[in-house]
Amino acid sequence: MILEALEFPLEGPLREPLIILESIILFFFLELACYFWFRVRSHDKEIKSLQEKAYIWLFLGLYFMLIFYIVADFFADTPETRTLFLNFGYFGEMFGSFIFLYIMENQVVFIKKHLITTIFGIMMTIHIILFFTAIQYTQTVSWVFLYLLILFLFLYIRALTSKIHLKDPQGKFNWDLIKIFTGFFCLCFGFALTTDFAISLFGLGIRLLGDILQLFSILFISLFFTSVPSLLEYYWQEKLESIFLLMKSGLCIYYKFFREQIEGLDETLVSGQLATVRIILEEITDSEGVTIIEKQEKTTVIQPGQFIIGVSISDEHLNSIQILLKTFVEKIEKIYYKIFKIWDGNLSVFKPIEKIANDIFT
Amino acid sequence: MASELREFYIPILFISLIIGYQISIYFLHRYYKVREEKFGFNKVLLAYGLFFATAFTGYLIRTINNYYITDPFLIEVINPVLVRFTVGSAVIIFLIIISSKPFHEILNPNLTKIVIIAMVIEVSFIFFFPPATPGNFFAILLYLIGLSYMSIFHLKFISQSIGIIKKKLIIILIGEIICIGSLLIGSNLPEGVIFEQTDDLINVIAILTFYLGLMTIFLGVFRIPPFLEFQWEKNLLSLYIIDSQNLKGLYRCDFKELLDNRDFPNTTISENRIRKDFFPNGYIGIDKIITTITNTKNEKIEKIEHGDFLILVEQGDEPQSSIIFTLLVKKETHSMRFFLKTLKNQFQDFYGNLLLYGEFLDGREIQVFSSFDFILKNILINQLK
Repeated sequence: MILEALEFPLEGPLREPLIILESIILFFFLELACYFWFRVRSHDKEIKSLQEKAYIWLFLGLYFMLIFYIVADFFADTPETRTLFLNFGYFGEMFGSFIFLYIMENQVVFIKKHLITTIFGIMMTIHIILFFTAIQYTQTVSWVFLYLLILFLFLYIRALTSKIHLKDPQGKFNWDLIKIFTGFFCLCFGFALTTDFAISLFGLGIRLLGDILQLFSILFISLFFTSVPSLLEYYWQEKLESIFLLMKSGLCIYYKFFREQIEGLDETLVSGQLATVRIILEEITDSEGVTIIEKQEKTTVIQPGQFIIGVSISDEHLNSIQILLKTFVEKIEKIYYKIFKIWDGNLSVFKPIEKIANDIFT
Repeated sequence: MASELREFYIPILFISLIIGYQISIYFLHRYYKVREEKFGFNKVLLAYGLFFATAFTGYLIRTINNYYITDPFLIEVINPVLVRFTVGSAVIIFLIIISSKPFHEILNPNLTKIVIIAMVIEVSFIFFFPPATPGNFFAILLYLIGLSYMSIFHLKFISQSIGIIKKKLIIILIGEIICIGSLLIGSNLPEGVIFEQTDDLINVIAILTFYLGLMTIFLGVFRIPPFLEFQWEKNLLSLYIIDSQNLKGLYRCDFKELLDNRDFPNTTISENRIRKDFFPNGYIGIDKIITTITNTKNEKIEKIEHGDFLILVEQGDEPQSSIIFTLLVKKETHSMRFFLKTLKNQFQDFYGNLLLYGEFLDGREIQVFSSFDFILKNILINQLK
């Protein structure tokens, strides 16, 4: 095999088809980012929207990466300008992926909290230093980001597989796995075929094949991302310890312990103390709103409503738990709106809350 | 076209084609999603879906012909014949669909048929009259009549629509105007009238404007709700939700009271109204008698007609099958049944298992379930405001 010296900008009969195909891929990345943005806007009270916020950044990163790749390979006149544009592309990918990883790892701990985001951040710093000092090495370093992203997705899918089988007796998730693995195989293989090395080895035609494979991969990946449940929807269950609903006066109208109740801990005692904490904070800060008290191993979230206060105690501070608590408080207030307005102290009317809590928290 | 501009122009052209086909698929997807509800006006989604699919096929042929085919004979034949044939067919398909019965209250059916015939003649003319002949000019005139008729339909449809549908249709219309404007700028028509010569740069501006127009249409069609019959809400009388197991009324709403108030989102629906009401017990009594007489224990009443009134009935889904949703109306339409099903789904979603624990409510059902007012108002606001 002979490696041909590649000349940029790419010329020849395949130049135009390549620009067209890569522009279409570019458009699909932007379209997916917009699609998830619309979904987040309309379902911002669902846990899944946290994950979809991350997808927006992933696809925006890929979009900006590809824009600069196209400019670098087809329109940059000199090797220096090409390298510069390629680096802008790496920055786009790095920035998008970094926020994607940060949002995802903020909700789920894989090996250690924010481990992959931290490694990614370190690599980004190295990359920026290289950009200013030894730009010729940045292309090699950029592969590390791709490997990290693949590692993250592998860990994510593994975690999701271990959880989802508990709730998927029909095996529908197996189809989702086929989609994602086919998608990622096509994406990685397609991307490999578009690299300078592959083109030097097989000619420009291989890049066309790589682009077609990437187009197919987008189809599979978008099918997976839009149909698969969020890992966040399973993950928070392990972390949630208890929830309480208190009247503004401090009276507990509902409580639930998701794990064994700590000995000597009485719900009336807890609720009274939590209400006091809230009153003190309101007095100190002269403001209302959500209160989050983080200790080393426990986080308490106090979510006030119009009539009641929701409280959650969990091992970690997760946005997903906060979203669920807010949904819970809002739903109870909507259902019991008229009861709260003229409440006579009868607690039996709140017994059905158990079922509503089960709907939301299980 | 200069090579640098071509490399910018052609990708956008292909992306526009993809968006056009996506719009078409999305229209068809929305149509098939609510097809079972049998709303006549939803055929407009089918009409637009097929119109876009056919018209963009013509656009695809034109693109390939203009930029990739070099044979002079093919260029001569394809552009005037195939492209105009596909676009003309798109208009014919659209008009055939809107000539169906549900649209008779918007457009005169006979006039629609005449325009269809004119369009069929126009499409036939393409094969007999070469470009730049008087016959061809006549064909173009017929073609413009067809397109204008489509626009008139769209405007009339907007004027009779309400709520989100109206807003969505206006957005689609704006998108269409932008697209038509960009097609006119990009075609050879303004040459010598507005511009001395159609410049490459004008073509690029035209395609970018076209892209913008398509995105506007996409925004309009995105999550477009089902097209209910015009003024369907005028036939609404009242809604009763009954717990047939505990023989209790859970919720009642008088639509007349609600809709007569111009500011109905802020209207509070009066309380303490079910106990006095005979309807829940009356309905349960009727159900029991009919069940006994006809020996149909497993079947439920679907509808009761009485004089000028009609009671539409929906039974709750398991495990809330003892909950009965009844809607009193003046006239039955597909929209009414759809509305009742929507209410049922929202009620079940919102109260969920709470419905199974009714005994704990201890006579406070009216207070608890009256919070359904908010949801009911939201459903009506989405349809009417």
